[in-house]
Amino acid sequence: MREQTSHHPLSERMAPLDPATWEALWQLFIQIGRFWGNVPEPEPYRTRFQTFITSRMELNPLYRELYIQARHVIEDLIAAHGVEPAYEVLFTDPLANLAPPATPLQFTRQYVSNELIALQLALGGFLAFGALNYPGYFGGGNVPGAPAPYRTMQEEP
Amino acid sequence: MSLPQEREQLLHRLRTGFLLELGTIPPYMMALLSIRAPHNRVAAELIRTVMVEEMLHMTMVGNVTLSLGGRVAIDADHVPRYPLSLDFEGQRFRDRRFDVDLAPLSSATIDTFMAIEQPDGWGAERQAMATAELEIPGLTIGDFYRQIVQSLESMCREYGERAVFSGDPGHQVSEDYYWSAGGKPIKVVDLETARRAIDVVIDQGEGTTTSIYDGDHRQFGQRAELAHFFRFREIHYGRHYQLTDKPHAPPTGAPFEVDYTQVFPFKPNPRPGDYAAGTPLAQLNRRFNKAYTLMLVQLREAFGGTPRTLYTAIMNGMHGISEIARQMLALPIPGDPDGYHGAPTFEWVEAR
Amino acid sequence: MTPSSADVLIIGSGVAAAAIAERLLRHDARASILIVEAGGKVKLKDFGLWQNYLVTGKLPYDPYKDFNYPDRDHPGENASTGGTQIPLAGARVMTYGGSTIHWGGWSFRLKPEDFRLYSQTGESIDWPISYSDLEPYYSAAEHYIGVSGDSSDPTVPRNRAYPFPAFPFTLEDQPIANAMKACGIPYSHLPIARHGMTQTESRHAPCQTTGTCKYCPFGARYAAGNFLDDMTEWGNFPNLHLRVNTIVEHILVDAKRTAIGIQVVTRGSDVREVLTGKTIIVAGGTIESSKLLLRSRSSGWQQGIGNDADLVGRNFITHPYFIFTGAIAENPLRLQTEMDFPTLCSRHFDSEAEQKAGKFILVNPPGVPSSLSLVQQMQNGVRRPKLDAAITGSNQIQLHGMLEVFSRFNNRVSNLDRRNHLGMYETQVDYTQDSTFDSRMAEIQGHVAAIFDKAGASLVGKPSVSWRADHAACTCRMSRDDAQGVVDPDLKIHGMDNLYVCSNAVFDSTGAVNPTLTLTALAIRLADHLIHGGAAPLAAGGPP
Repeated sequence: MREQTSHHPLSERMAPLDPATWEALWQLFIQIGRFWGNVPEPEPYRTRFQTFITSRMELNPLYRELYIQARHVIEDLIAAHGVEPAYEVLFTDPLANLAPPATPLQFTRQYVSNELIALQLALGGFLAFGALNYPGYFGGGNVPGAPAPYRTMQEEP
Repeated sequence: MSLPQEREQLLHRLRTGFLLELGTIPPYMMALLSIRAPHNRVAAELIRTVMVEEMLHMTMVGNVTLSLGGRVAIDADHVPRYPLSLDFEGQRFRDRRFDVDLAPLSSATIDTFMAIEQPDGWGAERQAMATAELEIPGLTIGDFYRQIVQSLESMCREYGERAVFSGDPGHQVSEDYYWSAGGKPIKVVDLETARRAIDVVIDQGEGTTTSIYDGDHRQFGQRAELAHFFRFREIHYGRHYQLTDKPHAPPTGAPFEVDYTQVFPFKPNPRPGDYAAGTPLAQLNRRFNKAYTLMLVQLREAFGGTPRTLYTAIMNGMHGISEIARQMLALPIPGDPDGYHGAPTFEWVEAR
Repeated sequence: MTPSSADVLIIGSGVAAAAIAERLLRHDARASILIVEAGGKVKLKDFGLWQNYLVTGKLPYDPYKDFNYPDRDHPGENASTGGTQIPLAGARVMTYGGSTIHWGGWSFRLKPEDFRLYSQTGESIDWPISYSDLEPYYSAAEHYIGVSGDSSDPTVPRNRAYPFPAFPFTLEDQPIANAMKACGIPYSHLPIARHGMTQTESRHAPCQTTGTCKYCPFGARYAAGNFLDDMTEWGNFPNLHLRVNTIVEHILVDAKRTAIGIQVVTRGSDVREVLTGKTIIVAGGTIESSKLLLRSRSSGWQQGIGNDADLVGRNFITHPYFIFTGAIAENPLRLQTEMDFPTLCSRHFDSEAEQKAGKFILVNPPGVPSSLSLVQQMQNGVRRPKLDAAITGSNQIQLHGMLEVFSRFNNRVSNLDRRNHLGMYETQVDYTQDSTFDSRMAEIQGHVAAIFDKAGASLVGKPSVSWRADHAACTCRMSRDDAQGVVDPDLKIHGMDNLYVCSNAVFDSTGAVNPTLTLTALAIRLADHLIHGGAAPLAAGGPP
């Protein structure tokens, strides 16, 4: 019997995502770091972001459509508000977070933007908030004699 | 020469070393994956452990590169191609004057693997070659790495260790990035650690002519493990070594099954044209090469200042391509007169 | 095609099955073993599934958990009929690898006095084996599942060090550690099944403190599925076989003393067949193991195998798991979730002095202050200044723990005559907590309030108590006397020659700690018993 895997059978015939959509998603990732001021240099995350987007589409080919739609949603927001205000609307509009999603904006916020926030924090975005480790971050091993990969208790004198 | 010039020369050699180590992984991987489970389990395990240690060697070379403030080069022009000819500056390595194929497990494949890992000064054939040394210039792999150490030593004498090892150690792949192998990455911060890192690469591969064991138990305080060459000799003879066995004598320990018929046959060094457009094998091969390329890009990043990317390169990349390769190996090429199955072509394709 | 017979037939594919198989195969690589699992296989260490868990919290094995009990609007499954509801949903996973696919990995040993519960308190019965009988197997179990722990911790006696050193206490432990110290309550490192750095080649990767332990991308937290994969894919074990999606209907008994095989049905079909084994081990967890014996009726066993004394399924217990929450005015250290497993615990109240009233342990959980979730706040559109203020502002701390409760004859599990969503017989749990439970919780609250007080926290409301059946146990107790228990000290069912039970069901009591390490030790011990001909005297296996 077929094992449950992250590779959806329908994804095998899926057309590749177009470069403009890739770029729009990457810009969204960058804008998350800009809006919250937690990732000043996103470039080192780029290929891991690519792995993430690819694996979302392979897990569920519907993501390809969600990503294409997100590109258009963001383009429309930018046309209406300008670049930075557009992302501010996407990130903060409470209506966009109403579940279950029904509008393109709601789908973009909940399935694209919010997931990239989760990814961004786990890749290293959390570091700006004062911790050394975070759920989803490859903190490193417990190597005897080396500093722990997380903040440790200071023994009282 | 100035320090920057000498450094650049050395980095050039290290780039060759990195590609050399990287280039051995796909042949080992394909021999391993070609085995039809549940047959040849012992051989599979032996090949697997060698493959994992080649990843460690690649890491060591990457760390030495980073310690000098360099970056490894992996791009469309710097990727292994198969058949892999192991050469340096247009010259074949003296102990590598043969091509390495992507091929299923066979007696010939194991012979090639033994040749790849053959210790310096092994056997009569080698001695014959040594006499021809004057006529055939060229290096052994061991010499190649030893020369790197010598260059480091001379640079340190001239410019001081601090000036030579100017890279950010935080960019290197440290002990806690690595798992499941005999040995662990060594952070290179000075001449001493550079020597230790390179010694691991030389020792694990070649062992020594006086011992069948690698130097790990001295380096890492672990139980003595067979050097790669002798692990392949075990497969060659279908028999384990015993602690008392001598290097030049065949192993005398417990026998195990080696059945070269229990493999998925595939055409050595497959090409994309082997799979008709639109067929499942063509689709799988395309997926494989995209994933392989992304993995290579992530390896470049991991050894380019973002070591954490190594996790994704291995957990997603290495595991992902292995699975696709397994699927291809299970599929016969429709109508193929030789009864070949599919196998990935290991090619660089533009990312995305 | 897997064979339909084997020397050793194991029902269930969790830690018990994996540990028994590993031990038998290490002794004889050609040992004939067939493992039968009702559930399907979920891929482990898959990067895409891991990323999906990371961003959605969805676990790929959720479909193999029980549904909630039926209510007015949902058909649900199973039944809880006693005075205390014992939730099954989320307690166990009926899949390849069993519940180790989701367990936390807390790997405590019982204490010596736990094996003498009746002698010490008059409750339940004593174990027919002692702590020292089991001690070498505890060590073997710690090495097998890969426990990181503090070998110098004097809490329980040990003869062999943990395979890996303890993880240092987190900064999050600091307020509770200081408060415990001020209260005179000792604390220690929580022994945790996370693989560490090995000196030798190992296919089991070390923990990278990634904080997604419910689906570890490396397989660093012990999961039986990884070990079974390892044995079947890489081990040279020609006679080891596994069948998933194979539900055991009942055990077939020949003469009264001999089990000859099992009647199975392939999940999702009507395909039935008989699988045979010379030795049969029921290792399907407390609940399923008991139910299988109960429904395996024959002329010799009219009330189910091993149930002539009406003990199968009875004496059911689990651990009530409590959570106390305290409010703190500020969080100057910016304490945040950095780990996904706890590093600090106290077994101070897991003592002989507390045994009669009910031992309990205290654990400082990771992930508090619990009200703070960076990801949720950012997804809700909270801006940076407010986010920073939330991190350093008023917050909460928690203390978790487990309380030992005692077996009662009337608390039991049994079969319902309908099938769950996986095609297995549904479960009826009939459980009523002791009348003394609330007063015991009040005593615990007194201790916790004192700790919170020293930590500058004030207790918030009542503790939450979960009776979820995670640690279900004691329904096929181990005894010398067949009037007291279901299996003998070798885990063989009283009155049977070749049928064993290896699950938490054979425990006589569970102390105040997680049962898995003890189960693993019992499984390794059972394997040694089988290696020595199935008739070796107790502890004759010697130190593993």
